[in-house]
Parts: sequence; C-alpha cells; structure tokens
Amino acid sequence: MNHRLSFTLATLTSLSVLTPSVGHAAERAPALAALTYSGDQAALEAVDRDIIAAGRDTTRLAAVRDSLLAVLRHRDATFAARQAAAQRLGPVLAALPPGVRASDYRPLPAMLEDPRDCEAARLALDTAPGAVVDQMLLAALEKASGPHRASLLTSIGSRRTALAVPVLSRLAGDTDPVTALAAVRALGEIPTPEADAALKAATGATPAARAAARLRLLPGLPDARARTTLMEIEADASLPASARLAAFRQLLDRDTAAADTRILDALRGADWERKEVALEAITTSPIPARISLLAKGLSAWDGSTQVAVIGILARTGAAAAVPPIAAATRGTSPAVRSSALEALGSLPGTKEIVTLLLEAGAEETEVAKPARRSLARLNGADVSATILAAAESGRSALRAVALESLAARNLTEAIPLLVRCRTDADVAVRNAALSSLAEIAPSSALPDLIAWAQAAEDDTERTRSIRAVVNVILRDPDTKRRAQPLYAQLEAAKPETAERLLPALSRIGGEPAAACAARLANRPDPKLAAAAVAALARWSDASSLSALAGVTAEAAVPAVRESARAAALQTLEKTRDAWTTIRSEAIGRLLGATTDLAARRQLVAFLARANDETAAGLAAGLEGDAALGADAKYAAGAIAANRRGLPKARGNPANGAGNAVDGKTSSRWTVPTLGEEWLEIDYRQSRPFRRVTLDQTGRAADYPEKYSVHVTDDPAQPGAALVQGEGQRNRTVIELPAGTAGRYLIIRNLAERKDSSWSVCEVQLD
Amino acid sequence: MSHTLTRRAALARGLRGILAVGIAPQFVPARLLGKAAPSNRLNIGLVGNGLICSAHAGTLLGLTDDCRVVATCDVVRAKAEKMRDRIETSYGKSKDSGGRSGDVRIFATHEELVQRDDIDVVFVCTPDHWHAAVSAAAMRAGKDVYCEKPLTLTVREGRHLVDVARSHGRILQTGTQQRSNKSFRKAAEIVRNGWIGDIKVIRTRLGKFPEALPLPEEPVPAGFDYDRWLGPTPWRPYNEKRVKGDYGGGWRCFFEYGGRKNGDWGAHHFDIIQNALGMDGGGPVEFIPKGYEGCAYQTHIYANGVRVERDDDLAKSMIEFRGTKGTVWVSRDDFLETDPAGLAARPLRGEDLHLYASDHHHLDFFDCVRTRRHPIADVEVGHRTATICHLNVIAAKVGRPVRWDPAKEEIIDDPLAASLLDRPRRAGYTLL
Repeated sequence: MNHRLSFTLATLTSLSVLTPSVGHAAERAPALAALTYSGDQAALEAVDRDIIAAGRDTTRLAAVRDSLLAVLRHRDATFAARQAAAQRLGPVLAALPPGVRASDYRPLPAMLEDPRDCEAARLALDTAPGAVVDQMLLAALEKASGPHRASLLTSIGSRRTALAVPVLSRLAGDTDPVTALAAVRALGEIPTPEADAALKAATGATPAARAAARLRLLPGLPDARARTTLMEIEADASLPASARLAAFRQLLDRDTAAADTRILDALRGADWERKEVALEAITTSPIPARISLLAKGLSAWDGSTQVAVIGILARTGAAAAVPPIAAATRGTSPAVRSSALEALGSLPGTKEIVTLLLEAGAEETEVAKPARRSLARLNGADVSATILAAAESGRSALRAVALESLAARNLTEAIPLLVRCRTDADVAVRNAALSSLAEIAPSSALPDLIAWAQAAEDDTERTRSIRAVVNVILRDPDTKRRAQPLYAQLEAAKPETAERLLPALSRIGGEPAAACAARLANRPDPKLAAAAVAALARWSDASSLSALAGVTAEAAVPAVRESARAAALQTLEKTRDAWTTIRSEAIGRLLGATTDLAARRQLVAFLARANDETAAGLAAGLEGDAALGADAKYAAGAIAANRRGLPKARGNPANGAGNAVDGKTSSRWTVPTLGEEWLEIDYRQSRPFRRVTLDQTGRAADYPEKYSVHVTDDPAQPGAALVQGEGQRNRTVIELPAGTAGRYLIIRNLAERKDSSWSVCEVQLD
Repeated sequence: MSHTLTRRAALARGLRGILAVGIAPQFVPARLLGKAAPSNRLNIGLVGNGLICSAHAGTLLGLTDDCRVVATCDVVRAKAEKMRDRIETSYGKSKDSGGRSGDVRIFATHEELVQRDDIDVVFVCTPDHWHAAVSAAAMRAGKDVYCEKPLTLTVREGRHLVDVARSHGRILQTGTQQRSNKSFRKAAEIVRNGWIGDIKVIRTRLGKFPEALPLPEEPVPAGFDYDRWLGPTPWRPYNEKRVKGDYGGGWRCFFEYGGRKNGDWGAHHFDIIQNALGMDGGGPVEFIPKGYEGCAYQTHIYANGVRVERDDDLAKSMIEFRGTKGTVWVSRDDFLETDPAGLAARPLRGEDLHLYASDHHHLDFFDCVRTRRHPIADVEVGHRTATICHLNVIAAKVGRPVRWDPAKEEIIDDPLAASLLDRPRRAGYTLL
C-alpha cells in the first residue's frame, strides 16, 4: 500500500476545492472494494477527495461514512480495501455525532470478532466517540483470546473506557501473559482510583509492568490518592530502582509542601541516582522559594553537587543565587570555582561581580576562561561602565582583562580608549587593547593601527597590530579603497619599516595587494624585495600570478626574479580552480621572461589546463619550437577540448557523478567500494591524455582499491585497460602512456574494500 | 568487559569523589583520574542501526568525551552485527594490542536493551514511527535518551514523552543538531535581538521526496523481524522499498512512518525558526495548506502575525528571515549572510539576549546527562517543533486551515483534524 492510501499532500491540497455531490460518495464502494496494495489507487484517492470536499459539513461526512461502511460490508472487499476504508472512517466518525446502537456501525462489530479484521476495525473505532463503541469493544472482548484479545484491550485502553475497569481487573490476573500485560497496560491508561486499585491488586504481568501502569495513570488522580500510590511504589523494594525513583520524582510535584525537604535530603545524601532525579526536578521547577533555599544551602554540599546546582541556578537567572555563587568562586575546588564563575555570567551583574570576574580572569589558572566568558555576557545597570573604568586605569593585569572584554561585549564606545592605549607603557595593556581593536575597530582607526604596527617593537604587539590592520581592512565592504592607506604607507616607508607591514598583504589577498607587493619586490633593496616575493608566494589563490609574472620580468634584483618565477610555478601547480585568461596572460609573460628550458616546459604544460584563446594562441605559437613543440602540441589539443566546455560524466552507481567534473573540489561522487564501480567522462571531443589525478580532497581514505583506466572514442567497446594500479591516499595520480588520446576516459574500481567508499572530488588532467 | 566499574555502578555505590569528575567534565581536567575513569564514562546503547545510526557511530567513536557504545539493537540482525563489528573494531584499534574489543552486545528488542543496568544512555535511531515507544521505554527504565528527529510520529506522542521525561527525572536530547551550529545560533540571535527589525515573513526550503508508489508484496528476508519494523503502524505487505533507509526516499516517503519532508527537513528548519522567534514553549496558531484559496505556500502563522512559508524553490539559503530592517539567510555548511552586511560578525553586547550556546549536540547532551540540566533540544523543544511538522501534515490532509491552541495543545473546532493528533497503534506496540 502506498502513501496515497493515507492521503497525498499534493493530491489532497490541490483538490480541496472540489465539491462532489453526496451521491458520488455512495458510488465509490464497488471500485474501492477491489483495492490492492500494489494496484490502481484511483478509487481510494477519490474517497480522500470526498473527505476533503465534505469539510465540516456533517451531512456530507455522513455520506462518506456510509460509503465507507458499505465498502466494509462488501462481500468481496479485499483486506487492503477494508483496512483503507477503516483507516479513513476513523477521522470521519470522530467528526460525526456518535451512533446510538451497535448496528449503526455495521459491520464493525462483526469485524471486531475476527482476529485479522479486528486490527482494521480498530483503525475506525479508536477515536470514534460514544459509549456504544465502548460496548462493542467489550462485547468482542468476551469472545476473544490471545493476541486478538490483546488487540481489543489496546483499544479499550486508548479510549480510556472507565466502565471496562472490572473486566480489565479480571484480565490483569489472566494466566495468558499477553492478555494480562495488555490488561495491565489498558488499566494504566484509565486515570481513575478504581483502575489504580485494580492494578494494585493485580497478580498478572510483572511487578515492574504494574508499577509502570500505575505511574502512568497517576496524573489523572486526585492529589491525596496519587500521593498514597506514589509512596507505596517508592517504598516497594521489590520494584526496579527506576520505578521507585519515578515515584520519588512525581512526589516532588505532587507533595509540594514536602518537596523542598525531600530535595535537600537527596542532595545531602549519598544515593546519586536519587540525587540525579532531584537535580532534574530543580531544573524543571525552579520555584523562587526553592532557588533561595538551594542557594543558602550551597556551601554545605559536596563539590559535585555544588557544581550541578550552580549550573541549574544559573539557568534561572535569579538574583538570589548571586551571593552564594559569588562565594563559591572563592572556594578551593577548581571545578566549583569554574562552574560558579561561568554561572555568574548568566545572573544579574553588579560592580562587585565585575571586579570578582576581572580578578579571576587575570589568574593564570583554568578559572580564567569561564571568568572571561562571563565578563562577555554579564548584564546589569553598572556593568559596562565598571568594565570601562577598569580598562582605563588600575592594576595592569585587571586592565588587560577589562580591555579584552570590551570587544567581546561589542563596546564600540571604548574605541578611543583602546586607541589611546598605544602610548601606554605596559605592553600587556597595549596587547590587550590591540586584541579588542582587531575585533571592533572601524576603518577610521586604520591609520592609527598602521602606525602602531610600524612602531611596534614587541613581537606579540607587532603580530597583534598587523592582525588588527588586516581585520579592519577585511571588515570594510569597500573592497576597492579599503586597503589604500596601507598600500600608501608601505610604499612610502623605509625598507625596514615596510618589511614589518608586509605580512599583512598576503592575509588581505587579491590582486591590488599583490600589485602592492610587486612594487616593493621591484625596488632595489634586496632584503625588502625578497620579503615581498616571499609574501606573494604565500598567497592563498592565483590572484598573485600577474604580480609574480611582472616581478619575474621586471625586478631589479636577479635573485628576486628567480624566486618570483619559482613562486609563480608553485602557484600554478597548487591552484586548480576555474581557469581565467589572466592566468594565460601571466604564463605568456613568464615565458617571455624565462630562458630556463625546464621552467619553460613546465609553463607550457600548465597551458594544457587552459580553455581560452590567449592560451590557444600561445600554444600554437610554440608548436614549431624545437624544444617545446611536442609539449605545445599536447597543450593545443587539450585546450581545444577544454574549450568545448565542462565534460559530462556518468557513473555506476550514478548518483552525483557530475560532481567529479564540475570544477569544484567541494562536491564529490562517492560510492561504496564493492569492486564494480566505474566513472565515465565524456570530454566532448577526442583529446590527448598524459596524467590523470583523482582528487579525494578531505576524503583521504576514499581511494579506489584497484583501478583500471581506459581511453576510447567508443565507450561501448573501450578495449583493454591502458593501465592498472592501486589507489593512493589523498589523491590518486595515474600516468598514461605517451600518445594516449580519445574522447572518453573510463576509470573502474576492480576490487572490494569492505565498509569503505570511493570518492572523487574532481578528475584533473595534466 | 573493560568497563567493570561503570558510571552507573559508581552512582549506585555513591562514589562521590569519583563523581566530582564525572559530573563536571568541562571544568575538571580528565587527568585527575585519567580520561577513561570508569565512573566518568557514559555507556551507550544504540537502537536502530541503519543509516543515521552509522553517522552517530562515527561521531561517538571520534569523541574525546568519555563515552562507550556497549550495545546495539536492530530488527535486522545483520545490521546490528555490522554495527557491533564496526564499534568493536574501532575500540580494538585504540588498544595497544590491536584487534577487536569484543564487549558490545546485540539485542533483538529495545525492551531487552533498556533493561541493562550498565547502560546510561540510549540513542534512538529508528524510523520515526518507533521514536516515541523506544524513548519512553528507555526513560521508564531510568536511561537518558538522544532521540533522532522528528521526535515523534504524532502530536500526542510528544506530550507523552515530555510527561515521561519529567515524571521520571530523565534527560532527552532531540536530534535537531542545527541548534548546536554557530551560524544557526547567530541567525537566531540576530532575529531575537531585533537587528533586522520586526519579523514579518520567514521562508524555508524543505525539498521534495518522490511519490510513494503502490508496492507489491515480496518475501520478508531471513533475519528481518518485519512485524516489529512495522511496530505500531498498520500492517502492510513487505517490500524492500518500503523499509529502505534512504535520505532521498525509502520509508521516508510514506506517511505511515513519518511526515515526509515536513518531518524530515521541517524538523530541523522549523526548530531553528522556533528558536529565533523565542517560541520554544509554544508554537503557531494556524496552519494553511498549500493551494488553499490560492495560498502559494504551505504556511503556518504565529499569534503575532509572523508567517512561515515553505518555499521549496528558495535558492539562496535553507531559511530566510525577513524583517522590517533587513534579512538574514542561513544554511548548513556555516552559510550566514545578512542585509545589512556585517551583522553576522557583530558581537553581542552584554545587554543583548544571549541564546543557550551549544557547539556540539552530542557533547551538550552528555554534559546535561552529567549535570541534569535540560539540553539545548530538550524534550519539550523537540515536541513543540515536531508538533509544527505534524500540524502542517494534518492541514494538508484535511485540505483546509487548521487552527491550533498551543497552550492547550488542541485543534480548535475541527474534530476530524483533531482525530489525527494521534494514531491507533497495533496491539503489542503501545506506548506504555
């Protein structure tokens, strides 16, 4: 049976405006009676439409009801049809006035007496209102046995049929364990003192099952009765601890007068399972009076209990919890101190608490971290003003903590104060101010920060000031102008000063920063120029390529030209993102400035990754070169294929095969390594192949167990494998024989590796 | 067994000194007693050993927290065995001697598993229709529970679970792990602190499952307790496609076993929306099915007028909060963008509202098991979110708007719709 049997969203919602006549509903019966689980579901969908169309109209719903009962009465109705009709009848009956006699529900009373049909009938009757339904179930119960009887008992329980308690009471002692357990569970659904008494007296099922049933019905009982039952269960040593603990837990809610005393007793005691339950009760019911009581008693408990209670008190945000928790921060237990300091951040803040947190935050122990976290979120009338004052003056260690918390609290009004710290004599203060400035300083503070970085003598101060400069620049959405003050300062500075600021450029990244570095690299100072090239070599992407090509061609210092070329080759090797013409142009410039044959061959090889006209022109121009001709010809063939667009891929299994050739290593094709997987890539035209790399970035162990590679123009007849080998961690590099060419590349995994996957993030060609 | 002195045993013996470590792992360095001090250890039973359990196992085996899987349970014996083998192999590798650890037990039923005295925590990784029964049984047996999302199959099951958790003093974490993601938390904090003004409309993308087609009966494979797989749901003939665990379909396509995309992704995204609106203890007041009187989207509406629209074509993000002063877009993989820009990086001020911060859903749960605080996706939270999933399904089923009283948890003036707040259960598979 498919989900259409239980209404489809699409069908039902789209058809909600249909209004078939009452007569239509009655005509459904013959068609629906023939329903099967695997056949045409149209008749059932029509019933679903009828129900929706009927809306709240009881006349029309009654027509649907009659139609569904007719299906159930149909002599040849399949079980699938009876089940589906009954399932829909349930909600319809729930919306209609109850029947007055059992015959109103014909044939459901008879169905209840049949073990198999009973399950279907229950789908219709469990939510149907009225005492008649209760009587029908009880009547059927008298004739049933075993699992059939348990089925009926389940309905009686779910309907909470109070008048069934005497019968259930009898059956709860039945010798048939299935019946006894079902009767006990049914009693547990009926929240009356009589049901509770029946369970207490019952002899069937296990004591644990009877206790669970009693605990289940208790919420519906009067307090006095419930308390008595709970105390009986709690005191019954024959029951499992979980049942007795549940009784203890419920008594805390039922017997509120004694609850606090019981909680305190549990917290003082050595029974940790009981203590766990008491702690959960405090979490659930943080009554103010209870919070005060707990706060007062805090210091009397063992450390573990204190830690737990402190955490719970913090969640309440209650002011009454502050004094004892503040006192707990001065204890000797690191665990208690840490939890208390952490908790204070969630409670109302005062000047005194700020001071306490500053002191703890300045400690060189593990309590410093929770203290600083609390300083970041502490809320109260004087809190921010107190922290600002502490940042302005006072003990150096406390000032440092206060200064660092300014950013964590986003106190932007403190920026002038933070900038003024540049002249402070204490390096700890200066470094703390820089940490905050890195997080919240605006662009207007950039000149001050650049000057700070230029003048910094302390290593930490220099690192932090450069970080602040970089962060401020990167936060500014004006990408064209945001770094101009830095570039201007770099180029105007003396070499040794400029060198200090250079690390900022690679962190900012992009072509303008690279151009600035290139200008420094072209200057005659060898140390500064070398440092500038080193910075360009650290670029995270290929946006430094043009600059490196320029330095290779123009740098005043020969050694700098060499290192720039090496950096350019390294950058080309490591960047496999989408090719751009800028990259081809850079290769052109590099070729023009390079005489070393090995380097020139490398550059031509990189052209094989290109897909633009500039690269094609470069390759074509070199085809006649005696030394580079073969490489250039290979590149030209590859470029021509690349220019046809991204290749197409299909795989076995098929899911996500395209991810292996989409130009992104962030997506992948992943399949179980069973030994029968393959990936077929169509490069849209025949092309040369030299080296294939299967990139498994981030999935180091997802290599093919044993691979074979085919290159062909006819994937239906790929011929013999060109190479075979074993996969490698991180990336599998496959060298192909010289002269290999074809339109299709097929890679197969030939061997199983249990509980493992084969992933290809990207298939890369060189 | 390597864990001869379990945490549970230590609890029973009242070893308070040892517990000082166990109860506050985030504050006390493990070195005090050694990271694997048995009393600090949480022993775990895994119920349902399929697709999502595999992900949990990966997480649990990689945690530095002192926890250990000691039992597996599945209706398919081979799955339970495979999970046991994986866990034992992993634990074995961590030993100097190598090889398997050999101390994970297999149980055919969750009822047997939860009776184990040395299990502290049960992970419920079954299909949705089993979540409530397994979770309730575990909590009644004194275990704490991590239950996959959506928490329940019906609204009434959810309230039942809350009642069981509270009445037994147990901790339950719902598997809506987006709550423990920094970007989703920040998005919620931006909304809660009014940085994009008053929220008017929220859109979310849930995606689509394939239609669930009629299925012919197939033989039940050996070693598969199919009757137990069906559990409380109506009998249906076996077919592999019905029971298949598949994030893109399988049993997730059938309303018998879940809420389709409302229960699947809705359980995550509606949950974040509840958090962002500060509605964890409540919920919307009206649910309108797509197509009703031209309504373009499945919609639910909060009492303050905020509309949540399911837009499966939403391109930029999984959730989009639109306010009078800006917009927030948030998705998985830490995607968080705002208009105006820069809100994502703006720190909260002391006086701003700080939401409960969890950066790891499992560790938050374990922390709360040890400290008895309510976790970030507490049972009440999970129930309220699942309720939204279920009511959207119910509104679609009846083809008309459903009005909801979140305080009384009742559908207003629509007995037919109200009858769908729970489902009849097959005999032998009751909640008690």
